[in-house]
Amino acid sequence: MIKYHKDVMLSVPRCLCLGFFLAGSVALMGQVTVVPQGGEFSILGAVKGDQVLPSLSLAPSAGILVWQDNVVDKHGAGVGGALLNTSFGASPIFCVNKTKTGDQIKPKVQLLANGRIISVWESSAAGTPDIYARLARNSKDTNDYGSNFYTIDLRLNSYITEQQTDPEVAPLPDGSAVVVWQSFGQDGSLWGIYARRVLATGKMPEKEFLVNQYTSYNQRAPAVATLANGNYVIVWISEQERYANSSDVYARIFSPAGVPQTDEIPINARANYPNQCDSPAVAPLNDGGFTVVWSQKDTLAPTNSWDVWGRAFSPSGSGLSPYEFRINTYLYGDQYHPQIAAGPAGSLVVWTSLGQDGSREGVFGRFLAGGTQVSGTNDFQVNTTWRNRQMHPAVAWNGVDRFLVVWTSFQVAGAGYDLYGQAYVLSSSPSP
Amino acid sequence: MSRVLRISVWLLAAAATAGNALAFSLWGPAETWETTDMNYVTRRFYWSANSTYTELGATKNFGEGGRLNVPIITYAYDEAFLHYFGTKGEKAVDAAMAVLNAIPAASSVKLSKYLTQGNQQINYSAQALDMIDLKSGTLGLMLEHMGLIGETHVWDLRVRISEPAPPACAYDYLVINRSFDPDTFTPSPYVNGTLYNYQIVDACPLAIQVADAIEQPSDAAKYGLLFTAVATKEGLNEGGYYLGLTRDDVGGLRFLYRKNNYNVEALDTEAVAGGAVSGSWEIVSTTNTTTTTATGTGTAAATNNAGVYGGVEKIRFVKVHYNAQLSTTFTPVVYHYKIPFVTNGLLYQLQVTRTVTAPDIIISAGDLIVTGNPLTYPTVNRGLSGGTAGYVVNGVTQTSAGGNTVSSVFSPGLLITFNSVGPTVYNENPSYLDQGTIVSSNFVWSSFDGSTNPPVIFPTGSTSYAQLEDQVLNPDVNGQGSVMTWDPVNDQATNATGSTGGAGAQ
Repeated sequence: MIKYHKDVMLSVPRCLCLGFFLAGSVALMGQVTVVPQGGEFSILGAVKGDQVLPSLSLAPSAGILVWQDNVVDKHGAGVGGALLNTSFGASPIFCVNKTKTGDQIKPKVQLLANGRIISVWESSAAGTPDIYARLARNSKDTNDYGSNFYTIDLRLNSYITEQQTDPEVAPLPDGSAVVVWQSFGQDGSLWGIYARRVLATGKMPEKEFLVNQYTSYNQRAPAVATLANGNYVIVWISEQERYANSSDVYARIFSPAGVPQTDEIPINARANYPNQCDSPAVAPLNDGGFTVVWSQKDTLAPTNSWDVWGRAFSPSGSGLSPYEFRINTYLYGDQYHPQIAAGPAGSLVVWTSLGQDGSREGVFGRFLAGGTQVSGTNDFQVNTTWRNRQMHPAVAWNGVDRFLVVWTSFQVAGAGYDLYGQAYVLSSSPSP
Repeated sequence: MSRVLRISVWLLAAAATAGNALAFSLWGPAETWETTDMNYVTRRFYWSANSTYTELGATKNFGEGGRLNVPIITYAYDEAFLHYFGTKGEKAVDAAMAVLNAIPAASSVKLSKYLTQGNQQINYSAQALDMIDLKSGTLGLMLEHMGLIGETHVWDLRVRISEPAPPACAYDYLVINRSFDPDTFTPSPYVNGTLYNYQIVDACPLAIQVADAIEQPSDAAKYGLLFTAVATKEGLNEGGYYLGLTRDDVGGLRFLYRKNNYNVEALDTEAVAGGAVSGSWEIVSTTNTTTTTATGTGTAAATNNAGVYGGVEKIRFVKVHYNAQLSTTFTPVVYHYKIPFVTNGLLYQLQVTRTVTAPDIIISAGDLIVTGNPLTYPTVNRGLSGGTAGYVVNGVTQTSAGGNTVSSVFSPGLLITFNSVGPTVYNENPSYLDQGTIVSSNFVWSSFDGSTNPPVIFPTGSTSYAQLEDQVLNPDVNGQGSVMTWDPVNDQATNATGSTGGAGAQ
């Protein structure tokens, strides 16, 4: 196990700034991977109702976790939240959404500079789904973000016709955030990808802008990551852009001000696979590049169904390898909905796998050394408790020494689904 | 099982136009070529050559689908349903009917008011406990009764043909797109905005002769199949519940039931034309999309019940006061209504009187397990078929009033039988023979939504939520449940591994 010098930890600034996820970066020799730190643990305890679809953001001295919850706002689905300390212990639960009308679902959260936090989610408060956000600040003494919301629920989409769904969020160097989502009909043809900058004050200086250049058919399932050079990259699925009935991954790089730095970049390149891709996720590399992971249907061996693939790119969007590489080693059945978080020596990818742990869904992962290649012999099981369903994994790097994987699991009578976690530390020993 | 299926061909579908965002599918009586070897009528589930389920007919081309032409359809519950599901089950089915009754007249429907995605929400605890929402399941069945079928027929096979000098299992296929955009009426691979590709799967060389173009939703991997039309009965997840109908469900109903969709049909057997056609008349074209070119007033005689009818615009499902637990007598109900009728190029409103002598739709329950290997384990049956018990009205067992007739207009009669076998688990030889080694648990009929109100579990009062949780989370809590064989010599029971138990373990 790599041990960090105490001074390294202390040197990590409390504020979140550009490239915070790279703070504490050290030169790691040899084949680096991750090993579990301790065992699986219950993050919130056995809580009434279903806590599902978690999202988390970590910093050296703080962390925030949000999830979809059918109890927390007492009006159907709402967004629950809790702070995490450096040991990943959770604060009391608070309700993120102020508006109780309708369902608030699919939340995402991001720590910003100066102790700010932004939560985004999809809300049916007005009938058809819209994208909402709410901001909070760190209090001086208690780290209690939950009692320090300083905005109401802010509707981010100015185009309110039809449906806007599936928000994602990333921090920007100046303390603001960029939020992306998919909007139906706004670009003239089915779903399109839109983004909007949200200042730390909650103000939005510009309207949302169209991300995708090819607008026919569906552009959907967006994800976003801030890069080490301050730019950000948005990835999404585009249908029928390359040929009839294709579903491919595309990316586009923007400056912090939202100025396009590239045209659309094709991500998946393996020509002998009729492409059916879905649910991309993206994380930065140390040099301003990025790693994209996604689900892809194995059309050559259909019993393998969905697998997790990845490919790394330079800051300008050039592929670092000619083709994508498959990340999961257990191929049979569905491995899908990957998530990725970047640390100093590489990225941890986690996903849901059907049947692999012996009972329905389970959470599995693999480390990408340097963010560019698979590391270790095989993918590894994250959840210890395997009976019934473990799914919806989220992962983050704490800026110092650990990854935390969070997922939802049905394993305590009377408590529905609860959130569980597993920490991982970097190691030069073989992966688990 | 899926490993033994031979994948014959991967084909990419033809391009659709960018304007097609939506699509619905129609069904009707199976054509002679719609045979089981191309997965029509008696269908094999995806990836499983062993399980089957039966459709009432087969998918249809545009303009060939069936529909109802009775604007008021009655329904009631039989004794078996009321015993098993009780008043809470009745309430759930009533709620499904209320969703259908709330649909505006077809010609005034605004599709943008209906969701393309997010109509199916998940109660995650209910999902973990294998619960199926009775209201949502009923909605899918009723849309089928009204003429819609779901995404399992976006792509179908028209021809499966063996090559001239075949090696084993060398087939070629002609594939057809059987879903249609509700605005342009053109074939579309998009249902509620989701793109469907297909992959042809052929069971050859198994003895079973079946192949199909299996639909491959392009975004199945993110949050599960939550975007399917309600008409896609297979799209209802365990733990899933519908907020209403999707845009393509309503788009399909709008197409079928708009007043200017003219079909050659017969009136229902219980319906009688009023003898006079009343109201204003219109001259219509011979297409089924264009209506008036001139109007006037007057009456004309209707001489028979067969003719060119327009859609009834709206169907209302009315619960009739027939309590099978209190009486076997149903008092006939008489309804009067008008439907668009064309004769000699003129459009009239035909006055119809329908005397309902028995409820059109009977909601029932029964043990639907079909013993065999493999086990057939349906959640619900529709229609009346041989061997299915009928229901008693006015002292007569009704054995033929339900089901759909073989024509382009459906009989309003239907018998829905929900499988009331109850919560079950599956054990399997040689190693999975006790509660600790349950191979799988099966569905449980329930009623739930997105709130934390505990789901209603059917049959009410027999199984608690805690019992279901215990079954899933602590399956070996009692330490018993193995299959035991009684040994009369030693006067004790022996399980599969040779260990013994007391007499109580028989």
